[in-house]
Amino acid sequence: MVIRQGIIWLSFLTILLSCDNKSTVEPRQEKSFVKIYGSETRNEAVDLIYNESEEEMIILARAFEVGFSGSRDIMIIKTDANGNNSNYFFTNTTNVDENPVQMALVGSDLYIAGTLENNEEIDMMLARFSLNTNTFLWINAYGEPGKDESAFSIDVTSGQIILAGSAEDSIDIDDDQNLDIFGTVKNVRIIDPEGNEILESPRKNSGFVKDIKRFNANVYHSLSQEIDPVTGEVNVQIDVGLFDGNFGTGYAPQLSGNDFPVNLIRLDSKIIALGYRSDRVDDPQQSNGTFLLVAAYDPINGNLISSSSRTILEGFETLDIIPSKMVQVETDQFLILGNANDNSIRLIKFIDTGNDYQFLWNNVFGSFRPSDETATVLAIQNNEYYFNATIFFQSEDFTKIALFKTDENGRLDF
Amino acid sequence: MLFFAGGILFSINTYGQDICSQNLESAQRQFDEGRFYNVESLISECLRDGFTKQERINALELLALTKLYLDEMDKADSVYLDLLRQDPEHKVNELVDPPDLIFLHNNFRTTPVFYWSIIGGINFTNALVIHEYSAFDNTLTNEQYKARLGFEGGLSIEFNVYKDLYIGGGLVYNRKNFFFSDEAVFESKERSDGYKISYIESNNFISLPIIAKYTVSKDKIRPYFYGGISLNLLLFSNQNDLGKISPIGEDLIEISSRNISSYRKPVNLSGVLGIGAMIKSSGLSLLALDLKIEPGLTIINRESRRYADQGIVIQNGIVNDAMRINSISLSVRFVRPFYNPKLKKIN
Repeated sequence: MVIRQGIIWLSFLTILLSCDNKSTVEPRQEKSFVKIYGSETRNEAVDLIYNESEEEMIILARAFEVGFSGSRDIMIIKTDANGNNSNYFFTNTTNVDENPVQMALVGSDLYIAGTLENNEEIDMMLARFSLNTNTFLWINAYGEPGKDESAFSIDVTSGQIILAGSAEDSIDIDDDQNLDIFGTVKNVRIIDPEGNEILESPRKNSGFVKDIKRFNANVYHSLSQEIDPVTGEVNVQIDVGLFDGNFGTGYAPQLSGNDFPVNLIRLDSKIIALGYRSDRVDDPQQSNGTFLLVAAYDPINGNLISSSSRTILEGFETLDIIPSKMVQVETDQFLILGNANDNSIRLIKFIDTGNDYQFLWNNVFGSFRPSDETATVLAIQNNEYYFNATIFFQSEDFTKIALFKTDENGRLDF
Repeated sequence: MLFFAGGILFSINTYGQDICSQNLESAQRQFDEGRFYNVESLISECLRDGFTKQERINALELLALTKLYLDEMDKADSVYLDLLRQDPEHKVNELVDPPDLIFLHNNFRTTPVFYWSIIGGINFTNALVIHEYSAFDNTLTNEQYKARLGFEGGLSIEFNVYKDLYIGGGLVYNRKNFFFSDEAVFESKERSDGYKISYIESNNFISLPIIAKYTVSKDKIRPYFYGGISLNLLLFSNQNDLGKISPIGEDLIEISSRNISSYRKPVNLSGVLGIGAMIKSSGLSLLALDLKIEPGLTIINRESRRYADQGIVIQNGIVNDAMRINSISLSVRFVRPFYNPKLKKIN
């Protein structure tokens, strides 16, 4: 009897074991993950937003047309907070090259800034995407015929859309004494939510605006790179200034060298701007140090009071970092996302002690392939950090989008 | 000359055995006729030298019974112990043997003190996913696991602890394989496209099972069943025949074997449930056919290293699920019992 029962049980278990096992286990809430997304073509990560109302991640990316080349489409990927249940949306334009660089969320709509190239005409681009209907409501171009305009940053905090970037135009270098040269000038446009242009900044300050943050109705703090218009020399500098339609006054002290702006964070009474320095203008992907530019401003009118700069990542652990984004995660703590010159992705946390900046950790990600490039880092509830990147996936021509989620210590494994 | 001498020795030996056979028959007659005192003198010389093995066993049994009838209990015990040393698996027939002999037999420990075995067999192993992880959208992947053939071999020893119950352990090498494949879907404005990866994972363990085993019978065929737990020490773990991610529909391209030992726990536990039967082969030796299942009790992954090899994660999209492995094995065992008959302690 015992034997017979034993045989029956073992037979039952044998059948169970010999069956194919298709995983049907529900994924659990993951403290960390790496997720890979993309279309069948080459993709590049651009930006990342957490839509708190829907608890969803929104990834902004570029998708190249079939054949790994040709014009680009805007690609939006929506996922849940675990990186699952992904949905893809494309602009699906033909012979139009859309190059998104940043997005902002207003209610249930995304505003996407970048450049749009159509029949060799390059203009600032602003696209509006409805998260409710998952459709692109419109894609507009802003610029003068024959002159190239590009948007690098977007700000929506005023209820209007601010596009900041550059234009290729003549630059007045002698206060209307008829001496103009052609070059890159800062260009900022104010656009209403329906896409109608309200204001364009005067085209007279050389350089480009990399990031912009609204202070009040008319005053914006901007982070720019300036180019000497007279000598034609590449004299790249970082400034923290005001934009009130005329780019205002009060630039911060300039640093020497070839400096590239990344982004700025505006706190209660000061601005912290991130940039990096390169000795090689022809190859800015050779960093010689990352620095912070700190400017104090008058909280009443936004005017700059003082500023200072500090190199923070020079030869950091024998690596030089090309940063792509800095975010504030706590009152005095910040994250920097970037690439090291060993092709690794770096997520670095530091603390502002008031007198100094101390690094809390420096974590390494990626495949150490040259195509791994970071995009944006986010900090959301429970100190969970998300960031996205363009990654090397099987081949150089087959880059995809990766979304990383780490714990509060920036770790995938714990 | 040598041949001649050998012939003489053979003849003498045969003559001696014939005499002893006759003596045994005479002793049996004396016993049957109740002349118990004559029995020992007829067979004592031959017990020293002259009986065949079977005659010797029969003679010792007759002598033990004689001593019982003469009420020489200590001597009966001594003779029967000698018998059991000659024939550890000696049995009494409860239908025909005298009750005194059956009683005497039951006073002795006749079960093996321990068995040792040499094990060789095959196994089928599959993974049981506890938590699914993927480098791709979990809702778009299609993970599949399939059992694959492995093998095992080793030694075991089982000690008798109570009647037919044994407690034992072993040292068994086993290679447990399973197949994994996954399809990830990438979206497109024109069509959905996907990429597939597959590999065979081989986990090589030294297992230290501890089992309780019950042997049902002492006949020629001896069924048994057992249960226990196994401590499995990982020797090394590989992912073999690693198929490169490629568009679905194209042939998978083998990359190479990948050592994943550092991503697996060095020690795992599994349950052990088995059933089998031992069959007498030659002498005391037995052959056993054994069917065993080993459900995994612990997750084999080192969860802290799930993303440690980001090159594999990012370039190939491989993130292992948290899983246990279950296996079923069929083995042949050469079993050798070790007897040490002795009087049981009588309370």
